[in-house]
Amino acid sequence: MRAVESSAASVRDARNWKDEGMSEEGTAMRAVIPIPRRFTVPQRIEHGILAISFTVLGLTGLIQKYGLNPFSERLISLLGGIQMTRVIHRTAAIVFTLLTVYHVIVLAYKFFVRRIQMTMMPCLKDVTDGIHCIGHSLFLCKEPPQMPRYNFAEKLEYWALIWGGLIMVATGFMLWNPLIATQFLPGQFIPAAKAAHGGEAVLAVLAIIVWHFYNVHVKMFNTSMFTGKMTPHQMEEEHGAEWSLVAAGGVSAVPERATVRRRQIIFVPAAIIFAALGAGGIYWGATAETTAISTLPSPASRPQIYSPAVSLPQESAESATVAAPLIPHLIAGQEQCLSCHGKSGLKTIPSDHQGRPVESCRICHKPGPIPKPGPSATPKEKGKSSGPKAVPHATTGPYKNCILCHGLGKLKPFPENHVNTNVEHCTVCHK
Amino acid sequence: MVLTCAFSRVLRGFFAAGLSTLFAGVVFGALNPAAQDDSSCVSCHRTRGLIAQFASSEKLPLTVNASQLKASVHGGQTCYACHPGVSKFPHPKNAARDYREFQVDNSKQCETCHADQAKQELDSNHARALAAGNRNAAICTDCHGNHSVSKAASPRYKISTRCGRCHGAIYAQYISSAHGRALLEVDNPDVPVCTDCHEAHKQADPTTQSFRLNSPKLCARCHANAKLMRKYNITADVFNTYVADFHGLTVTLFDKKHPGQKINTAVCTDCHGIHDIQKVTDANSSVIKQNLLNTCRKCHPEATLNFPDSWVGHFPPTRDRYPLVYWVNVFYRYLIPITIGGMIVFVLIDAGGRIIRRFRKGRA
Repeated sequence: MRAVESSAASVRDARNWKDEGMSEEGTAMRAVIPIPRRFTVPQRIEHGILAISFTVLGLTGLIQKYGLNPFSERLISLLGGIQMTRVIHRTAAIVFTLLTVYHVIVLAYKFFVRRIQMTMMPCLKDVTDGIHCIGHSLFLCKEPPQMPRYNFAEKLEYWALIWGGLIMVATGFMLWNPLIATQFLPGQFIPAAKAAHGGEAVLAVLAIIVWHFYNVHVKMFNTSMFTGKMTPHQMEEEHGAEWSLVAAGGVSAVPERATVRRRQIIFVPAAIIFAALGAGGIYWGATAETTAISTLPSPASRPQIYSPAVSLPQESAESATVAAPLIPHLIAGQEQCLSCHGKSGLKTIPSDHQGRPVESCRICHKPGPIPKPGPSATPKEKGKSSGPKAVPHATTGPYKNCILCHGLGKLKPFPENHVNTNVEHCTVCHK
Repeated sequence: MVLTCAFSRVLRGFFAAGLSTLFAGVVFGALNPAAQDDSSCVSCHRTRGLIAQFASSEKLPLTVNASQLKASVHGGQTCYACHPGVSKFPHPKNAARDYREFQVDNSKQCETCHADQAKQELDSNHARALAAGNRNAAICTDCHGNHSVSKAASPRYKISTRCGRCHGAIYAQYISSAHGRALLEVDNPDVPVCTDCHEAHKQADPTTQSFRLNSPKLCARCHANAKLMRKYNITADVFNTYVADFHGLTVTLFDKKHPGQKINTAVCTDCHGIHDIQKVTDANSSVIKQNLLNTCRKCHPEATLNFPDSWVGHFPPTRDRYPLVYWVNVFYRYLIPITIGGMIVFVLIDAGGRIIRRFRKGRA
């Protein structure tokens, strides 16, 4: 920056071009008084990375804070799910923290090596500038304030970012590594960190939207972050005092090369150590804790799913028996059991057998030993029944059909209980 | 003379293949079973000790307790409604090779009247296990009984005890849990029986990830019901506070987006237990203060003494409970509106001044 040989006052007069529009004089003066450069290329890159990481952090963070909001849900699924959203958030957090380390090193270089004026430090004038500004907007003061290289609005934003950034890095670390954090801190620091992380995020994002957007994009479009310089109009309005100072030659003196060299010898190793520690710390913070990610509840702890407490109803059938009298006669030719054993047969079935089909009889009743006919089985012993009488005549020819003569009311009636007996069966008993 | 009825021998004689079972049921000259009553069947099947034998040499008791059948919900049904294949005598061959096959075949008959339940059952664990060849998997009659079917939920604990017949180990846990004790000791109508969580007919596989992810909603069906919880002096905020926290949010979002994906984030049961769940004030509770660290360590083995305190429980922080969290919240509750409000006021004043100045300049 070259020195300009004119007094601050004359510069001030010369800069009145703005009130008359782009006058010849104004254009000429603009060429004469250089506009101080606001941002170097590395600073612009730093701002770009900060803007990107901040936006990503804010977006992926707030949709986690308000995770069940429909918009959040859609965005989370668009990003590939909640796990991917967290990965993105943490990646941006690493970038943001690395940037913080870088910024500290750059600041330290400016402070210890270049020893330039700390123009970002807040001072009482910032308060009066702010009040002045409001007064000017309310038409209480005619002239707007003449503000330094960094005006109160910019300092407010910068220090808010520093304050917020520190809180976010500290609480973010605790949320990322709750197990490590609780080795040193009480447990409730974790939910407190979560509350602070979320609260600070809302504050920061709203501040950027209200303060930064208004001051840099709405009030005027400040292109100095791209071009490095403000327009004269913007310069006069925002940093009038700085411009005057530059015009008056009041710029921090550039230290001599040798001095810078000497300071660098100390600074560079220190900076390398600090950078290494910072990077190492970030790496550790990002990778130290994996426990909650790698553990799954063990399925081995589940109880046996099939473990019958009682055996299924398998009745022990071994002892199950049916007591059924055996059949004491030949079966061949006498398969129609009910002919004799029916309702009114010779030897009637028990009442509970009523209705059973003839086919079922021999399921339970099995052939048994046939008692030999003979005197031992004389019917006399069993009372009046004398057993089947012998047939006293031939059973062929005209005698073949028993019921011609034998039957109720016939020549030789048979007993009443013989009514249902089939004629073919007469000779079964009556020989 | 009392003789054993070697019925099985007869059967073997009847069916050379030896693979059949015969019912000793009775229909005397029946042509239209629907018109029949059961008296003919019962006349044989009330006989005590009546059995048939399968090829597997297992025995099938054929005796029917007619009075029990009449008292069941199917008391008005005829035998043929469930046993349509045995309307004639001799009964046709039964193809079942053993007792279980016979039971499985027979239970298919339930579908003719209970089609909805049968359809739901097709999606169940039991149906899947059965289809996969596990013949122990429950069929209709295993749970409902056969001739003594009664209403499922009378009394209500019958449901759980019925499940316990096969799931004995889980049942043993359940009956010692807060839910199980309340059910069995005082027949509490609010506590869940097995089917409240697992469903009666369409039970989902509880070992899947989607079941796990969805399980908080299962618990919430009762535990987010303020009216119900008031009866037991339990906060109904448990679900909201869970979802608002790290575990709950992750699980909820996963459930919506990737219901089948494997994640380890804790659901209700990971901390409180499943079938062995206890009151949080019970000394055996997995979430009571003295047990909580061990519970946390199931997923976070490196957890130290302070770690369990990082879970604020299911209560919003107050001045006394988690004061730090409370004051941080208070801090931001005031800081955000004051800061942003101040900025907005400044911006509005500044913008107003600029607009008026520009307007005046334009007119000048």
